[in-house]
Amino acid sequence: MIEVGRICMKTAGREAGRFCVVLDVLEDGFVLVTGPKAATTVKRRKCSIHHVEPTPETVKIKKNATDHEVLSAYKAAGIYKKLEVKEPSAKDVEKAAAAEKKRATGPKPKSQKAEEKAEEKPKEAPIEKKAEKPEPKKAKAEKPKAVKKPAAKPVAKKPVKKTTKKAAPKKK
Amino acid sequence: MPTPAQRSTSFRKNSVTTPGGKVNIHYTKKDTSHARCGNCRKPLHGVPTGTIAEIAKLGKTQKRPDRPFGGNLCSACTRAKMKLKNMERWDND
Repeated sequence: MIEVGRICMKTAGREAGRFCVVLDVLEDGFVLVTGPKAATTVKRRKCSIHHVEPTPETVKIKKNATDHEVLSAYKAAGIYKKLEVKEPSAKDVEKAAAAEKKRATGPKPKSQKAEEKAEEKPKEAPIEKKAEKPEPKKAKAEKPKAVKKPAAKPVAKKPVKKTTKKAAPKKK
Repeated sequence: MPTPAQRSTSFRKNSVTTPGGKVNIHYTKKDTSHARCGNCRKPLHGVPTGTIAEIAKLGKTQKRPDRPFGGNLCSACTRAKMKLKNMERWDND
């Protein structure tokens, strides 16, 4: 029952209850399987036969077919309607492919990341921030000073001057 | 004498003999029970026990397995359920 092109339901793990296609039958009761991820969120992975339940549906694909080939085969056979799954848009397919590439290459080592940060950030960021921030602050600060201070200062200054002038001659 | 709060049945009593020969009673909170499968009543793996306050501090992924019916059914029961679901779906057609 389980062969290349057979559509199955996963019964175990986080992808339980979702559909996938068999791409290859491996040794020791294992199977290579994909949703593809863009269509049913089942990623391309090795999987035990006991964790997969076959359905009566099949698709014509080659052994180890790519995700694009599987998606076009789904469209030709009208599988989306039968499984009640939405057909993924071109953007979704690209996103899933990019994510899988990242996973294959693995994350960058910490030393590389630190070097990249050291090269990029100090040259660009601080210059931009200094240039941008002071301008709006000055513009905001100047206006209120110009309006408020002339009204406040003359009142404060006059009494001070008078007191100093009056006090000085008396002493002399 | 215990404090009024410690007279609750939710406390467990431990009798402890002190160096002077007296017997004192220590009051400790009882352990909470395991979460169980809704179908077969077996204790669930991957679901922590403890007071509500302790469990509330944990992350979401530490409270239940990341799987359909995780934290409610055991893995064997979910697998059986999924198989049934698959059978029923294609029988109608």
